[in-house]
Amino acid sequence: MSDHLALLASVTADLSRQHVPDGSHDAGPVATAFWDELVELGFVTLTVPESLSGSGGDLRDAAAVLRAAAAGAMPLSEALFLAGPALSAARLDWPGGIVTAAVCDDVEVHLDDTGRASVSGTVPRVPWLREADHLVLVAEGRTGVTVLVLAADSLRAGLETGANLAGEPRDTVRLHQAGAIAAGVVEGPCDTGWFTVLEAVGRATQIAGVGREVLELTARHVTEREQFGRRLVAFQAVQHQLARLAESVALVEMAADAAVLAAHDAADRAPFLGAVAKAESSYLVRDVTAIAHQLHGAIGFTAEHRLGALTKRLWSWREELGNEQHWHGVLVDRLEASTGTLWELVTGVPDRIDPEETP
Amino acid sequence: MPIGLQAAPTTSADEPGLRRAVREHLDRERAEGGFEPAVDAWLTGIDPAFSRRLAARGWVGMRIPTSYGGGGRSAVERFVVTEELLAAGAPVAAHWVADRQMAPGILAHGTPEQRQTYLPGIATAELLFGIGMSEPDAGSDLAAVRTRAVAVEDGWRLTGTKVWTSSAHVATNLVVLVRTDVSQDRHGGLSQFVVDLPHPDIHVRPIITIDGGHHVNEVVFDDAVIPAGALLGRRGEGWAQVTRELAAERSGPERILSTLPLLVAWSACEESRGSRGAREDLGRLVSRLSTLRQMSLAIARQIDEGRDPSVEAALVKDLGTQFESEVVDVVRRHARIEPDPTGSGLARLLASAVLHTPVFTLRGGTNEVLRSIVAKQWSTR
Repeated sequence: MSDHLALLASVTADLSRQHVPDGSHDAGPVATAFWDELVELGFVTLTVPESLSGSGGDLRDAAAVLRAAAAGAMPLSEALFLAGPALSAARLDWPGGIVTAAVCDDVEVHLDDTGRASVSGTVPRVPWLREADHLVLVAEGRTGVTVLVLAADSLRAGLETGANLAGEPRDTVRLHQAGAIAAGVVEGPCDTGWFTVLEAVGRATQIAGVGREVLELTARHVTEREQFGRRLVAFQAVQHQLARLAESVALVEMAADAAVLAAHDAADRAPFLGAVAKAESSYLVRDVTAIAHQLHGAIGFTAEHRLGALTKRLWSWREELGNEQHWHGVLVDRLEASTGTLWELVTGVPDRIDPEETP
Repeated sequence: MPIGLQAAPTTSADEPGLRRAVREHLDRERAEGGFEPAVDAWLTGIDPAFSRRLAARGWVGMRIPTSYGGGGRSAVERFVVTEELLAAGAPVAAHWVADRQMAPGILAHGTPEQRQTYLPGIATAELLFGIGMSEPDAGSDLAAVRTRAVAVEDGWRLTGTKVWTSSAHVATNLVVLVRTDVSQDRHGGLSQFVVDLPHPDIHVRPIITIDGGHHVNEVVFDDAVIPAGALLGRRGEGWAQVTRELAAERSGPERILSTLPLLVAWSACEESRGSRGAREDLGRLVSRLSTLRQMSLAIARQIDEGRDPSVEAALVKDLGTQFESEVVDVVRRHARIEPDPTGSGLARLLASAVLHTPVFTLRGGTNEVLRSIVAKQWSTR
């Protein structure tokens, strides 16, 4: 990791230790103090250029921060991997406050002659919407992908609150010609699918961050805890389970990292690698959580222990934004849509030179 | 921190060109009857003429410096070429060990004379190497080797037996790990030697595997005297030299792609997308394949940077070899073709894949050993 990314990660990890409570209680209300400190550092707006009131970082910076703050009670993934890129693409200013975001294809966008936009329809399970100041909504409009900024307090009336297994708010909102405080159309060839992929890469990055913490917690437990007169890690059966856990976490990290890099480079490979990232991370949650709980023994099943806070997030996140079954299907769709073999798809190098490929 | 693997851009500017050049060469070889795609061809596909034609294109000994007749290319470029060869199921077994392991080993530990003697021949695929590590009583426990070398007038006398030596029956040379000294430390007292074949007192005997094939051998050293200059590296440092080679041996794409020709063939059939179950399994394999390649590539980059990613290599090999078996099981379940070694197409590929499945997770360090290596950072703390 470059010094720059390592610094972002370590500063954020320090803040995480201060602001993410121990134990496995519900995520609960937004960690406002944590969010504000990250805003102060410019870490929430890393994917927004300075000209649009952001801090002008990039997706790799964002991933380093998000991994280290993955368990924080706030819509940081939505801010960094969806709101930021969407606002930038539509050339809209960062609205400030607590910002959450969603992609929705089932809403209707109206743009009147004066350029004012409104939106109708249902947006399901938006993270922390009940406490947000702004909702950045990415929708398919008549003239292309439209990004709308909505003041969240105007939406409270239509709110149906919900939560995931970890107690992270997931609120559904019904919009009836809700007026946007700002709106813009994304120029160029683009569909909402690109933003769906980015959002999923954000969630995969969170799974990587929490997966790593689960591994560290488990390694600490088996090296400290003694049974039958020996440390647990002295048993070969335990060593091998621990190795399998480390391997699963390494896979998630690599899949997420590769997708972030491709998205950062806006490479043609990004939709493929993004699908791989969410598929792998969702699929591997089962192994990561099962092994970690098995190695912790019963203590990991108690509310006072930290493990549950992490595994409950993983069990939630694997379903959100498409689980592995969805994304595995997307990969096969891509294979069917391509004219080449599986190997050409996976390497990203078709046998024949695409006339549009620049040398 | 157990692993420091980071994704790196898979594409360098010249990667697509290199991939296509290798694919075109292989298409031509296939069209001219040079080979039929096979699973596990890096063990079973012994074809010295194919290897020499490949070498003529500069794709053997790519990592050997140009001053020794090699390609002077990067580990990542070699990675690209080996991936393409494996994906096509090309018969690369004759030169595989020399290219992967012996060239870097001789480069790192060899004398100037040894480098001059062996490296140019490896790069042209005229010299084919086998590797003698395992013994009847030393499999996963490599430190238990008993084959010994005793210093005699003008050289060394080797006595003992090596097993599982791939391609020894076509090899021009062997690199063997033997005991030269008594040591309290069981990893001590071991040394490596380069042995030239044929030799009147070295007997290569076939070991037939369950697929009926002759890929591996028993090699008996019957008081075989070899020259003093055959010692590779430093006397007593054999263990350290061998373990350094293992990162390269364990992390390569051949620990992921041994059954890829089967997956590519099956995924080209409509039925692979016919049922919901098949689609899910296919998607899962594509996803895992993509991630494992990224890991293997990340290790190639670390080797390029002069680091020693041996724990990461163990981790990737454990995962990659499980993937190889998983491919066989998925295709077997969905293809509804009975494996037939005398058949053609998918039935034949499936037959050899099923018969080779047991060895994927054994060779080059069993998966149990690999998991212990991964866990060592915590278990020895």
